[in-house]
Amino acid sequence: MKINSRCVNYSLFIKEWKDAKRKLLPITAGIIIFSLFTILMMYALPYLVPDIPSELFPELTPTVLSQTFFSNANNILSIITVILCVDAIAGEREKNTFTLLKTAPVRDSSLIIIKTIVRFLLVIIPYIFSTLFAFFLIILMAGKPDIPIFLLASGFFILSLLLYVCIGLLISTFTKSQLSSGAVSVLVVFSLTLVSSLLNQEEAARYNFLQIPVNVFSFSFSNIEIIINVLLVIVFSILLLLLSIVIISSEKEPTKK
Amino acid sequence: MNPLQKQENQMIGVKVENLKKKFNSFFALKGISLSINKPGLYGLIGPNGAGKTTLFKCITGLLTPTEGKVILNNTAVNRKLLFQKNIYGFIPEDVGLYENLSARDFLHILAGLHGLVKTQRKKRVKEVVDFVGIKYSPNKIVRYLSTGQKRLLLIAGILLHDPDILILDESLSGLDPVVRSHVSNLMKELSKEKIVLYSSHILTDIWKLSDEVFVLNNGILVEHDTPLNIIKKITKNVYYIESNDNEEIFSFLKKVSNIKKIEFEGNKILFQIKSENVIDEFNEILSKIMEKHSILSFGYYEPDLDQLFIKMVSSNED
Ligand SMILES: Nc1ncnc2c1ncn2[C@@H]1O[C@H](COP(=O)(O)OP(=O)(O)OP(=O)(O)O)[C@@H](O)[C@H]1O
Ligand SMILES: [Mg+2]
Repeated sequence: MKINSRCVNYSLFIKEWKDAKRKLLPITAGIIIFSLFTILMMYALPYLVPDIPSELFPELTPTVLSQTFFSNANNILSIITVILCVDAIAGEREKNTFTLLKTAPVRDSSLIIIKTIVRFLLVIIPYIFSTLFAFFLIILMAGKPDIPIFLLASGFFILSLLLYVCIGLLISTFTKSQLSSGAVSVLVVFSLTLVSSLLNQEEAARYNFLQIPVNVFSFSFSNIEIIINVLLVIVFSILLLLLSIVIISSEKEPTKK
Repeated sequence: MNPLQKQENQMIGVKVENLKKKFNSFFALKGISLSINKPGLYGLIGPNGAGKTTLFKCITGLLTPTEGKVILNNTAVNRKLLFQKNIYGFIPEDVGLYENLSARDFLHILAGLHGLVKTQRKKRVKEVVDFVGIKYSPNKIVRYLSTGQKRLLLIAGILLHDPDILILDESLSGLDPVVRSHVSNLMKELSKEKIVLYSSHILTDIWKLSDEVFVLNNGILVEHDTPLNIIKKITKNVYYIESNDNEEIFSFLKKVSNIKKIEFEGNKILFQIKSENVIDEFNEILSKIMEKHSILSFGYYEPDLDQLFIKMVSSNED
């Protein structure tokens, strides 16, 4: 009896996608509101803290606004992404649906990879919409930002979202409930953001791949540096995926809560 | 009909060899061996915590045994063997469903997850839905189905890939008598071609339905036989007589040497016969009594099943 694994994987994808699709609209709306908020906040700041002399606030050029958008996205979206992903396995355990997958001829590697792909889509689709929104808002408010750099920043940010998705999935494989995986992910992402902002100086900043979307607005990167950073993110993502697969397939009691 | 083109006459069977499962320092299964090699309905009973669920999870590879092995249709259970997952269909006692899907989508996705390609899926889902007797609209969202409706959906779900072995953990619990008897009939029907291994706390079902019964207690298989033989073994030649002259019969029986343990149960006198030929002995006793007294009823005593269960389990406690 040969198992048609393409059909199995496709069905798993459909199952995951049907579930993710329901969250797409609220997440997109939420992230767009978030972008609007971050950008308008820059304009509101001088009025909110009137004690600080207005010279201390930066001039709101398109570059400054773009940088603000990406830096906020970096801090907030990273954690949202991880939290959106931690239900991938832990949620199935908690709802007792994992047995349905574990008693079906689904390969552990396909399970992890398909869940990663679907979560990645779930995160980047709202993100792309909100970036477009931010882009036009910045044009409207301050003028046209440097398009190649803006594209580079968003492209790189999308790539780093892949890394965050993989982090979320890994956390999801070894936690038993959504609550504990949520707690672990907040901890992990905060420490990551902390470390990457501490490392964001001089030479280290050039390879500080979690801060690239912000840093491209401050100084320019050579092509080689960009490629190295891209590779770093991809390699880390793949390592995390492999680790998740190893954890899932070596578990003695995969359906345990 | 058969969507996965199984080979005909393939041997079907469940074989468990000296299976042990340890959780931390506690043995939930202490060396179980059993062998089933023909279609039929096999009941597994045992008190709460006996290890029934643990046994089922070891058989389906959801738990890795500490020792021993399980063989399904000639191949040792190994989680990495994907084709093995299509040999069995398992309904765990506390399984969750994809709550947000419609019943139809749920079945289609489950069929796909077991490797049924799109072209076969629609036909197969319809076949299974008809067989199981799902009457509600396929557009209903799983979340809003009742317990009984969910159970039928699950049964349909595990039949899609036409497994040889069905393992149902407490699948009769929580159902009203009508649905329960419907599900029992389905199980009976399925057991003509498949091995149906199920656990239940509803003893009347187990005794009525099963071709063979396994009794598990404290992680040990304490009994394995046909329901009738088990009842015989436990009751060990207990007969009853019911009469209006119970007191006199009671004192008469007390004098018969081959009779042990005489007791009243309601209007009946129960007594155990210890003899080479129990039937003859019983007839002899009966005819002696009938010379003087009129008897309302008599016969082989089949105890209340719950009592039997308690007896069986407690006699193995020590
Ligand atoms: N994952 C686990 N970790 C630790 N102990 C466990 C685990 N699973 C089961 N046990 C223990 O193993 C024993 C057998 O449990 P099991 O669930 O197999 O019983 P059961 O016969 O199915 O009972 P019930 O009729 O209540 O469903 C119990 O004492 C239980 O506490
Ligand atoms: Mg159980």
